[in-house]
Amino acid sequence: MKNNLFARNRSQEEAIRDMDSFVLKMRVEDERNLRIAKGMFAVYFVGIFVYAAIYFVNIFGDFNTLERITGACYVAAFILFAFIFHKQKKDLVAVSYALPVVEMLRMAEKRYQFWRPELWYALAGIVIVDIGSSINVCQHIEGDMTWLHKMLSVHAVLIPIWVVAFMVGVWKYRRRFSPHLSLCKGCLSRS
Amino acid sequence: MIKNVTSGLVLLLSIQVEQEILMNSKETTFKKVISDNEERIRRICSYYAPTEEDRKDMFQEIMINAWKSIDSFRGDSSVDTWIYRVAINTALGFAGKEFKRMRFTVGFDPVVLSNLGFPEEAGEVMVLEQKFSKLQVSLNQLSVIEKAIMSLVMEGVSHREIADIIGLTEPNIRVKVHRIKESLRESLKGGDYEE
Repeated sequence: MKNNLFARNRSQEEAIRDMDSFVLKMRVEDERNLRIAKGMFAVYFVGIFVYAAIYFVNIFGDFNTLERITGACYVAAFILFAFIFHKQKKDLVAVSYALPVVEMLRMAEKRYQFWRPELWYALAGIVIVDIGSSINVCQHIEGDMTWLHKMLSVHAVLIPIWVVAFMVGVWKYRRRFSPHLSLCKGCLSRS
Repeated sequence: MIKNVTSGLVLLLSIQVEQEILMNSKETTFKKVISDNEERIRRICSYYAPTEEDRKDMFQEIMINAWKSIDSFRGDSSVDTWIYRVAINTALGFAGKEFKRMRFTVGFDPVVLSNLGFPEEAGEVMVLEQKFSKLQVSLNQLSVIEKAIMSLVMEGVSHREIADIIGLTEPNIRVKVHRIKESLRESLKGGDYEE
């Protein structure tokens, strides 16, 4: 009896110690996440302004009009990607496990869809990067080619790169998110 | 100039102090909620995780999600409802794509069995054990949501609270529980052990 009481007290003490170390760990992690979020925001914020000043506003006067258009395209894509990351982070933070089960599943179903608005924004960003890169490369191609030929030659290289990147994305989605989507759909259809 | 700098520093300091107070209150609430409901969470884990190792992992995961969601706890629902939601949502997320293959385990506990409507006058131990294993099989054939509902029924949670946790209406839950219990009773009737 005495031994039992001793063992119980000890396990309660261990539980309290475990809980304290757990809370401490979570607190450190929360602070770290906040620091990373602030850091990322600072990088994007400063990056966008520095890039826009150098390549688009042309503060040093080093760039011609085509190069400035390229710079503007990169800045626009940068803003778009920053917006996508910010939205994704906001969505992830908004995930609350304290929601009713069915509501949580509905939200997860939306989150795991393939054709989400973020994908369209990302594709728009890729198109902008593509325009900027092809303008930049075309003006450095020498020879008697017309602009149309130059564009076609550049895209003979760029399009396969975009397609491969997209296929890798699809493959990753199928491996990581598609099973979750079918689980959510399955659960909701039988609820 | 000095005045401006000083007021800026005071503002920064007060924000820091406010954050510290908020963090301490979060810690206190979290510790209280978890220590008051530890047994309950462990029982939920035991339904969804077959091995001791899995149970520990799931418990840890529930603690993490409870920590992340504690800010959203404003007392709109009871602490019990809140903790059950976190536990069941975590259990579903924990299993992920493996959920369909995951075993739903029920302990040989008289209270749990009576909540399920398991016949009390089952008589012989052998018959009781056989019926119990049949019950386990039948429970594992239920859908994910039905399993979640039955885990709460086994805990003795009221229909109203189950509706709140799952996010369906109370009459809907009542009908579902009735149907599931009926189908469990039916499955226990068949075979060699029909009474």
